[in-house]
Amino acid sequence: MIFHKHINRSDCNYKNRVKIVTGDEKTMVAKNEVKKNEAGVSRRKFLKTAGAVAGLTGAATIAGISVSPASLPFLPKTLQPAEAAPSTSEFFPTTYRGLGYKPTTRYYYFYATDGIMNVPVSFQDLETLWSHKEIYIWGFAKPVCDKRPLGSTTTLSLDPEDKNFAYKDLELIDPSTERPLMVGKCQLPGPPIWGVEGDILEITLMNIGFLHYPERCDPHTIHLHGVHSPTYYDGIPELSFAVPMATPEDFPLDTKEKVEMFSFTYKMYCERPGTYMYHCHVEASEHVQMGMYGPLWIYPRQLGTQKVKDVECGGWAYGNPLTAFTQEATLLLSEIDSRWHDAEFRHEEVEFNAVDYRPDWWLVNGRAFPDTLLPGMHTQGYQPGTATSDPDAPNFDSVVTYYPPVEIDGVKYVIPRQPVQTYLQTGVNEKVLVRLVNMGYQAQPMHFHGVMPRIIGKDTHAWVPTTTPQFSNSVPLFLRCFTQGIFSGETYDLLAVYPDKAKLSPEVYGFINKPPEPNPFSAEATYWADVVNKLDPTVPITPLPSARDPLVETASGYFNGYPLLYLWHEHDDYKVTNNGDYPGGAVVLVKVDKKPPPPKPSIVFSLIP
Amino acid sequence: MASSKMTSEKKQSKPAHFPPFFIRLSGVGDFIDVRFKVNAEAMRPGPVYIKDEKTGKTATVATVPKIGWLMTRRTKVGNTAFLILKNPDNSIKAGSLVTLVVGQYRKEHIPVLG
Repeated sequence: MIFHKHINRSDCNYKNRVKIVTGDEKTMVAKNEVKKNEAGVSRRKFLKTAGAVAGLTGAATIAGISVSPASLPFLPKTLQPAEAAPSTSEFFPTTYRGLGYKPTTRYYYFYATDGIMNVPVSFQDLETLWSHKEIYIWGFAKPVCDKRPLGSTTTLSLDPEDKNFAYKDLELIDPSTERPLMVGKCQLPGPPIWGVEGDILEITLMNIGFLHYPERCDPHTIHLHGVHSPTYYDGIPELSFAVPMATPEDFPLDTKEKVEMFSFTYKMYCERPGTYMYHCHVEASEHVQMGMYGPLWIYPRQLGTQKVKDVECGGWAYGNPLTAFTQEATLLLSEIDSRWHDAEFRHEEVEFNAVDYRPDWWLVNGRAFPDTLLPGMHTQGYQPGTATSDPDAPNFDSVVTYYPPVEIDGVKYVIPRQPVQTYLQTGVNEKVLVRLVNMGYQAQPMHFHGVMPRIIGKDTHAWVPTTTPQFSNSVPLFLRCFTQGIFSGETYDLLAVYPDKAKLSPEVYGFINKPPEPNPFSAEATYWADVVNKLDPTVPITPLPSARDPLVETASGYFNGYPLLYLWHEHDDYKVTNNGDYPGGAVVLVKVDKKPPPPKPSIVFSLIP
Repeated sequence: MASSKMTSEKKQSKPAHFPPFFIRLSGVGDFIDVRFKVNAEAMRPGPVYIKDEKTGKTATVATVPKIGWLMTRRTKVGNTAFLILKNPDNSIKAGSLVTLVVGQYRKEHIPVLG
């Protein structure tokens, strides 16, 4: 049984789960009013109601009331079960309500602003005197901050049943006061959005302006790419509208009128499970390149149960057990042309011509190798705010993964910059769901070493045999791939399962089950300095020593025994570079062990909206 | 390139002496990421590794199929470089003091960051 592990452990009755969000009566009433007025309402009237909700929040904070994210209407609610489970034969979204299903609304709250990201370089940036190049970006940010003390050893958990669940470690930054704090601190990629089939997402976007380019007044939108939205919610400014940008003079946004002037709430019905994306659609060639995008995915409701997704054990990618997974990895691919970003930062009168686009860094989840391996917000054991080895150097976290910490009322806050670590730890026969998303402009051939992933879905359509009406138009295929090419704006759902290679052919591969032997190539590897000297004619080449360095002999691993180390990378190999320097760019490392993987997924985007 | 507005914060505390920029755990502790500025000593032939001063364990450059050594390939004095060293048993932990050896460059008592 494919899913036995989860069924045994599931007990996924969300009725019994800890209710994360209690909900504020007043704000919920206001939200309900929004829902009632949704159909046929004018934008102004709609915004007025939505603004009242935000106004309640702001007023509470202004009055000095301690506002927790749990009491705010736009923050997520616990997944709630249906009153009655739909039968398998009637399992498709349109019957949810007829069966007594109560759609749950998940709330997201994003800011649109600019910021700075970093990419590794092989030369020293003469201005920063640092090992990274700063890239000016635009993007989205969450008005919720990690409030763990810097240097804290506590870890953020993804499990809502965990008493250390992340919500208690997060705090909302009030829109009426935070401009000096959050403006100029977007993250790349944008915060993830996720929902559950049949439910509703409400994503409020507030355009708080730019820090580094304050004279610009670009509006922004959120286009839910792939969603069957009406034009009103489609985020295409030419066909509907965009959210205007607040200027510094508009702050603080401490009145309802101001809040509704610079914000809008997009709504989405979670029609189909699968992987989507979102991005700003204002002057899309520019805004997308500048970084205004993020991932979005919808979990299915599983047949015959109310189980959606077990945070610890995995779930289904589509409404079909053949899409069951035990681990989940989102790979959002993109690339940047630093000249374009620099031109935007310098406010050049002659704008960068998009036909000159020639990217120099390729990113996975907003980072280029080797930064992809560096800790992220949800890396267990990671201590944010760790100082560098050099006491005189700036905090490295503030160079790559986080903005410099800010202090509010004596508490230091960490604001993510490139918070996603892309390092997959898995085990043999684990089912890894890879959500492949391309938000760059180039086609990206992603090659998977040591495994041949099965394509289980493309653009939210399952590619598996189906028994459910909602997937009656699915393509019943079992396609696999060495390399999955993906165009801009596409998504693929792949299922990667690493078999035990020793069992595949004990005669040939059996050695990997034995204790590892010294790496025969280590001696060469350790004489890197000699290798690179060959490229410098001013340094005489010294022959490699005949005897291995004894120190090297003690080192082993990742080569000839478990755990095995594999590579997922762009097979346009020039994209495995950082501004031409190899290796770098779009590289993902995968560690496959015989032991089961850690209980918490190490690569997933945050489940924290 | 980056302007003073972007970098004023760093200029106030520019790292004056190299290497390294940092040595820190990466890949959930399975690797050790070393970023350093290449100087003349580092360019002279010699081994590349770090050694835990307490346990004596060493970490050398990780290799993977196709890409090979996970480290900077082309460099010269004045450039920055990275090394991804393997730490499969996670024996080198955050807070460990290590000795870094790159070519003929050697520096002791460097803390590994978490």
